[in-house]
Amino acid sequence: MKQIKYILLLCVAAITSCDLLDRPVYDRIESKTFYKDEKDINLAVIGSYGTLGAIYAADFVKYAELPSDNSSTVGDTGDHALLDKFIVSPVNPVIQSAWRLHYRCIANVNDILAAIPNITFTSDEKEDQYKGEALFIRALCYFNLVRLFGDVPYIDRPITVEESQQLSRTDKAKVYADLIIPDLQAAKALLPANYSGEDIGRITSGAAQTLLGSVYLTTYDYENCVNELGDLIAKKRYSLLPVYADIFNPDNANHAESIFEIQFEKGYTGGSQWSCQAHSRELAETLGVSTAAVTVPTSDLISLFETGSARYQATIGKLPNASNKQVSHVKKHYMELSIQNHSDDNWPVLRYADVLLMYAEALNELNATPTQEAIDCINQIRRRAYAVEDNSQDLTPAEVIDQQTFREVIAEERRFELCFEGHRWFDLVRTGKYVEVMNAHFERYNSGAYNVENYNNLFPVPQREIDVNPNLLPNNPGFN
Amino acid sequence: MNRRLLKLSQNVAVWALLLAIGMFVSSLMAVAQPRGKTISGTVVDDAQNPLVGVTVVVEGKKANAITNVHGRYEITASRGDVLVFNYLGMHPQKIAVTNQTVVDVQMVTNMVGVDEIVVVGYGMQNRRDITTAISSVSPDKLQDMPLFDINQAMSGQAAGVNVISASGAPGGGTDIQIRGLSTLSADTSPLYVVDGVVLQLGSSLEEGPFSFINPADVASIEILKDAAAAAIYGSRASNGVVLITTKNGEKGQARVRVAIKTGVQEVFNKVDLLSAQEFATLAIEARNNLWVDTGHSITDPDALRNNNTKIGYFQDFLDSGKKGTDWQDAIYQLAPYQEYQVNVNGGSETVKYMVSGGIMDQEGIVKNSDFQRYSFRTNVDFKLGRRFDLSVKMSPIYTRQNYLRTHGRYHDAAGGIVQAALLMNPLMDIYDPTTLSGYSTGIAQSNAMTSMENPVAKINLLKDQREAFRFLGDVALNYNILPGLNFKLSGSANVNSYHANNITPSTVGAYNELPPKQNAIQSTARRTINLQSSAQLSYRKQFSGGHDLNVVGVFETQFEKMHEVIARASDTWTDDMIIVDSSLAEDYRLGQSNLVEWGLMSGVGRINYNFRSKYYLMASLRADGSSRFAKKWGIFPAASAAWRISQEPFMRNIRWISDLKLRASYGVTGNNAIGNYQHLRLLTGQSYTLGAAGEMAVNGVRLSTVGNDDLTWEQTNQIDAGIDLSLFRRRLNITVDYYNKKTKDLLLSLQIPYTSGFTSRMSNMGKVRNEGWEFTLQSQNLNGRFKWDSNFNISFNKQTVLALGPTKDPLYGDASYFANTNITQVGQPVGLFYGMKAIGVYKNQEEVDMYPGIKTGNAISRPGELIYEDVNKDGRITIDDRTIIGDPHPDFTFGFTNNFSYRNFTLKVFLRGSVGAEVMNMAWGSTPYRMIANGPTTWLNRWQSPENPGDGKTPRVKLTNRGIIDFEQLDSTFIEDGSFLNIQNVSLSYRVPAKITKKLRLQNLVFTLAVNNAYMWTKYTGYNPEGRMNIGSTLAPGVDWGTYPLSRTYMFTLATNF
Repeated sequence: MKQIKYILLLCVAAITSCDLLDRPVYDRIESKTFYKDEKDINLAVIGSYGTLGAIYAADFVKYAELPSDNSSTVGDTGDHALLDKFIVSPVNPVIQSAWRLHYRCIANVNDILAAIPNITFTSDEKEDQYKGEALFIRALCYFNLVRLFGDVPYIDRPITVEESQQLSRTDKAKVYADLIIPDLQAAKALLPANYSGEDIGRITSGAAQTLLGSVYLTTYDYENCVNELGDLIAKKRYSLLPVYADIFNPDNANHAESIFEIQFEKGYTGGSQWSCQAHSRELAETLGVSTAAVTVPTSDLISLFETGSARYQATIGKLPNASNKQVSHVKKHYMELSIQNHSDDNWPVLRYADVLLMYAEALNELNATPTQEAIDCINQIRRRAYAVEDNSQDLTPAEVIDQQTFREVIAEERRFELCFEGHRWFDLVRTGKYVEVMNAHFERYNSGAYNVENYNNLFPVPQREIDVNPNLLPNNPGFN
Repeated sequence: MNRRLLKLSQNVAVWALLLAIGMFVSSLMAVAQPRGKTISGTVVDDAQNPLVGVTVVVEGKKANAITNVHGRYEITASRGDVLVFNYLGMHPQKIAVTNQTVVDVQMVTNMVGVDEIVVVGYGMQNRRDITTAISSVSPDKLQDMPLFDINQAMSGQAAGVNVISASGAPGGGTDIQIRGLSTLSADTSPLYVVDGVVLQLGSSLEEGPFSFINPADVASIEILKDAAAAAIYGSRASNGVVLITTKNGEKGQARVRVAIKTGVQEVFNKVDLLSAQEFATLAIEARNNLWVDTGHSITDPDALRNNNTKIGYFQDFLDSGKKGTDWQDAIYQLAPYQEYQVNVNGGSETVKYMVSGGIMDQEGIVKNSDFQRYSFRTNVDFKLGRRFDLSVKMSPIYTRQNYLRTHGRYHDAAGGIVQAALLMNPLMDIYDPTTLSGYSTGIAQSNAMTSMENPVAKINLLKDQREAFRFLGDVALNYNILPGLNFKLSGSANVNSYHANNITPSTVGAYNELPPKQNAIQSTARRTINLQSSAQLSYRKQFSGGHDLNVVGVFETQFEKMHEVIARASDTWTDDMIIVDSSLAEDYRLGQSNLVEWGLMSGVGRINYNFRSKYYLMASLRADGSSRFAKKWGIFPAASAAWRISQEPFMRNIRWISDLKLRASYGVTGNNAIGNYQHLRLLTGQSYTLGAAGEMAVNGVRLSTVGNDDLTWEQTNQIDAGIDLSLFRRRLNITVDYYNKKTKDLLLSLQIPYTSGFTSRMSNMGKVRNEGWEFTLQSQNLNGRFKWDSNFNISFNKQTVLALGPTKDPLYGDASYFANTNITQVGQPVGLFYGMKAIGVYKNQEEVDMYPGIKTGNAISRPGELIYEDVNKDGRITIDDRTIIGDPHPDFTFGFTNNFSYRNFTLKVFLRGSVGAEVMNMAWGSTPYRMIANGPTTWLNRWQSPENPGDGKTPRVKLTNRGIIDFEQLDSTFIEDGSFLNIQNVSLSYRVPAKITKKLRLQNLVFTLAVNNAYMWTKYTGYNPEGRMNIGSTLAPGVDWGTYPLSRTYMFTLATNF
């Protein structure tokens, strides 16, 4: 009897001592105990860069380029082709993913912004930097969201699941006025002008200022756009690279023209998928890469492109397919690939050429006749595009004869300079040309089988989001 | 051939070893017979065959004996003594000793076993004393049939237990549901308890979790169906509990049973697919239809047409007179099956043993898949002095398989083989000497054909080798403190060590990915160790006056740790290397490990009381603490009562009622089958790249799990009322049960708005009710020289969702390609099919004008297109017209077993059926009627013209997407009736007459010929009306993506005892 007692006691002791019911988590960290010091904030900020990168790794091109007249899919009949052809539906996974990835990134940033006041930093500069980075990332996400979806739920702090189920859409003008613009203004003031060492590639005050300029342009606030971008240009912090192709050389990351780029590193996890997708399916075999080809240059773009320029040479490539026929692909983002879906190829979010083009556009909108300052901006771009030092490729007087002509010249220059970098569709929408341009495009190349209407300036809110939160209704016009 | 020889020699070696062990043990254990003034005799069974191992005791005295291999016994007894003969599964016999010295006895099979011993949680009870709903299955009755896993032994044998043959793949694929689905979370499988060791296995199509036990070692299976029976297992018992008891040693000389089974399996049914000629004809028509729709002429030659609508390829094929390829024939084969079983059983007063070994080798009906199981078990019971008993059970099992992921979509680089065989272009040859692999490829085909890899290339080139070594062991020490008072300490270990190596070679492509692509190698090593310890105090006393009290108290803990290491490589220089070799360049290698733990601590108490075996009361309580939840502790009470009316004096005279018992019970159980750590808000790693050249990888973190501070288990409250009735000297036994179970706080990974930053959250929400009736009829219809007995059971279950989350919004399930194909909403069962309702086909333009239709896009309503019902009556067809288009749950299921025996022949026929369930046949899901991939012959009944409108259900073929392309919605043409009646098993046995077996020095010798899945009546056009995309995908049930077909198995068994 006695022994049994001891055995029993031993059992109970052995069992209760090892805290059976509170098993440790091995592969993740509990968020409530995570933010303790500056190091943790830095980790979370870097993670937010990562979640921002996930938007650009494969997807951004699908909604910023694919609907435009620059890019199309070949051989694919799925979700990408539907976007390409404006057969857009609230259940299209690409649209769903756009919504998801942006709000995921916003949630991470909101957590950081909420945690920062409770942390003691080693210096004010560090605190300002992390805060500025978080604000920029949040503003960029919202900027993308309002351009894609129009009015969207507005969240500027950590929220509970229950709150997320009650959100309704906020007028996009309010999102611009209350969040995007103030965030960027704050970020511009908080962020450093540049970084050194292993911090190179992080968001700078120049990036915030450029994005602010882009936001002003998009909201047709040309005066503020000119002020911001004029100030940035005057600081001479950035310059055009002499050789166009160098902009996209992975060995030349974070160069003088780059203002903010998403950094990718070849490998299993951190790489970009996009460069593998920038070719047609028929090239897959000869290229030795195998992935769903998402985008190829349209013949529309190729036929208008100044084929003699260095810019063309660096943008559009031709490779033989299996039957030795030359097939076009996006050379700008193509590189030798050794690991499927992953390349070193950085995604340029903001670069100086874009600044010059936006500045010229805003100036032209503000002035009844083209100004020399604006013309010079375009000439800078053109000289670099043709790799000439002289004025042989400068704009002719006929091209700058009046505001409307110059407007079209700037738009075309913008199209060639920035194609496949996630601008064209937003440019078409901003300038109100999307219906006219896209229908003409389809008329030329698809016998008018597809049709773009006024409501196509926005994507529908994903059906999945409406299903879990009906407060998001009504959906955008054309999708109800 | 060499592989076969090698395997055979291995099998023979293992077999010989097992036999040797058996012989050795038996020679050690030979038991001396008691001496004295003796009575002797022979005990035989119904069929006059000697029975081995019958215990013979002199009532009230110590003398006892056991029958030997010839059924003979000797025992010392005096005149006036009563000899009691006991044998499991037979009625006990009592015979008074008079002057005779020879007492021969014929035992009678116990039909229902009113007196049989039933294993309950933490104890055993006599069947007649059971106050709850427990079904028992004796797999021994099925031992000569093809029985690949233990679930199959339960199939159709017990009311309320629905064993679904979800996949015919070797080594796995049954889904078991006890009394309907009472959960919406991922796991619906019951809790398995093997000899008291609790195994929470989960269900998975892939790993075939039922390799944990050799069915031949199982003595009995009890299924605890109502909450009062199951509540003793607390927080894990809501899906029901399956108690498995393995065979134990019995006193006596060594008894050896050897069984050899060999057979062959074939595809149960092929799907009626369009022949290559039919396909080509329809393909031309589909392309012409599109061409004409876009305003062109049908007579336009290819030169004028765009690429997609060119028809030359198909016309050339028709003109060539070629036959094309039957892709089903190309992947299926006749698959051999063999199994060897040895079981040695015997013992003395102090040591009793059961040693067994078995080898099973099953090839798959899809070529290049197979499964082998090598199992061993030793159960030994020691009597240590007067007060201590020690029981040691150990069972190592090794399984290995060549796995093929046959299920899933054809897009999947490593899977979707069955679907690809259904959809693959029949005009194409299997082989193509010009490609890298030598196989033709359907990837990036021209002529608008859908892109898919050749399934034959997949089965021949993909390699996935899996091995598992499982060890199940437990040691229990019982201390008999005082008469009736026992203390038992036990500990057990359940170790599963799993290794897999697989490669997706460079030569196998996938959807739109032409080979050569980068190959991918993965090596996985996973060990799961589960430790359980338990201390149990039990007391039983029969007081004078007829009071019988039984009390049990248990304290137990369980701990599990899963540790996994995975290595991957990609783009390596060869496809022949199936491991991640260290010589591969580092850039191409990646490693990862996972570690997960959970713990459970429990206290259990139970009181059973009965008065004169007439009035019964039971009450139990379990407290469970679990590491998986935020609110860790839960209490699970249960109570039940029974009244054996047949024991009342006023019933004594009704002779035709042998036994009548009314029972009622109530209890609370839980379900904790979600992953670990789900209640915590967690961050995970998220790296980024920084640095001057943009190439410095830096670590960061991001949110990964939203967490839930209120997370707790699902709670089921169940009422059960039942009648056990036994008539005509127990020749007819009827059991009727009514149950009503309500499950609340359902665990669900709930879709939450992306605006929260997350995708889903594990939550407790909603209520589901399952209400049903179960009837079991067992009868001995003929009991003479020609014997016939039957067992019929039928179950009706009605499921109703009573509440869902605060917003009451419906929940949706996805069938892979389509979103929201299944809807779960209040007032209805879980996971009804949801989509557009097709109500016919527009015969002509007049009909188009009559209905609201689709006015824009590719899917403009035209003659020949499907008419969708305008459900919301808004005059147009939109996404809002989705409605409920089918119910995947059966109205009732039944099993009907008949055993006939005459002289030395026994015939068993087992029928199983299910009525009222519908199936979403998604094999054609992404490409219906488009003729970009093959389809069923029902498409021949299509609309062709107003004059030739077809069957009125099948639309015209047309190249572009169907229906409302803008929404890519499921429509009701995918829904089919899944009712079936299956001759699940029929077997004929012949027992070699005793005269001959005696000469062979064998105790008996039985030959059996059995056929599994002999014939099925069903309207379903796919392979298997019970096929599932994913076992346990509760919110999207009844979706068939082209699962592994059922196999028809022909098996020959030779079994002998000596």
